[in-house]
Amino acid sequence: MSRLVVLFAVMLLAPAAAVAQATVEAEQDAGDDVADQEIGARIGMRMGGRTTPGGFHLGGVFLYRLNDELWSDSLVAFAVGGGGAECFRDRGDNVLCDHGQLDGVAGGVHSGIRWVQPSKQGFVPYVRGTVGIELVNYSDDDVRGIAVPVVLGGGVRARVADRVSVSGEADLHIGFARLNRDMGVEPQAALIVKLGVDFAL
Amino acid sequence: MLILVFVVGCGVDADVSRTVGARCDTKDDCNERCLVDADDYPGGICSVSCMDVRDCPGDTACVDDEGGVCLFVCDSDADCEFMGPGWRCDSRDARPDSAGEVKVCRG
Repeated sequence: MSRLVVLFAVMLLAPAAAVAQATVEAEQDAGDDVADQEIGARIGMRMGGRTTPGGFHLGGVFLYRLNDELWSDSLVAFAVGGGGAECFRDRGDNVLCDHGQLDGVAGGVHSGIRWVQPSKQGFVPYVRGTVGIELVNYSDDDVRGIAVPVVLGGGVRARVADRVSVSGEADLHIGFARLNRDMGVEPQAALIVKLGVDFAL
Repeated sequence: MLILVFVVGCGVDADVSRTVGARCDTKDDCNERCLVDADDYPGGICSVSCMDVRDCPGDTACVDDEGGVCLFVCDSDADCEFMGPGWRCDSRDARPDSAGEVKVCRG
């Protein structure tokens, strides 16, 4: 648990700490053709299960360049799935859920770091790590709660126009959620595969 | 009188689910129907309607109670302990009538 707290703190503070350095470097890179800020959209599929929502993934991204290789990566994301009531009380009166991979609804914000390979040609690979907070809801079971996921992922992107890039990403989403109905803390795990488009500001 | 005995997977190892076995207060707690505490099913039990054993999932049998419901089969009271206090192994008329009796967990 303490490691998770430290990781959470590092991932939240690292972008802020690097902003000052990025400001200086941005001035030095005045002639660079890489923008310092980008916004983007993401669509894809999120596969969860049990008490982790999945379904259609929709997200909005804000990227802020910290230096040639690091970007601050912030995301607002939603997962909208289907499914019906899949929770029940076992004989010990504990609530158990066995939702499908594409069931439930989730929405939240994530913030972290993206490392981009220092190359400006063709397909550029990157890896990213974020920490977020999400609301989780399975309406048919009256199950809801708050999740704290760590997201580790990566992808490739390619510039397709002067200020437009497209990307393909895959994220592993792991963490825990505090749920109602006396379910307590439940693990969270999901895989997200998505396509994106980013616009340089 | 024919007594059906299901040797494999008696109630002790039975899988409890929203279909059969979960505790319930109303049918909303189950996939199909809830046999409530007040009707001698302590804590309530989710079940499904049946005409014969082929309608029943897993380690359950079709008994001629409540219009025909699936309940966990058993050999002795010990097989029903997983259901909680108040449950015992009891012989009931099976469905269809030609199936004789079957031992199931009930309150």
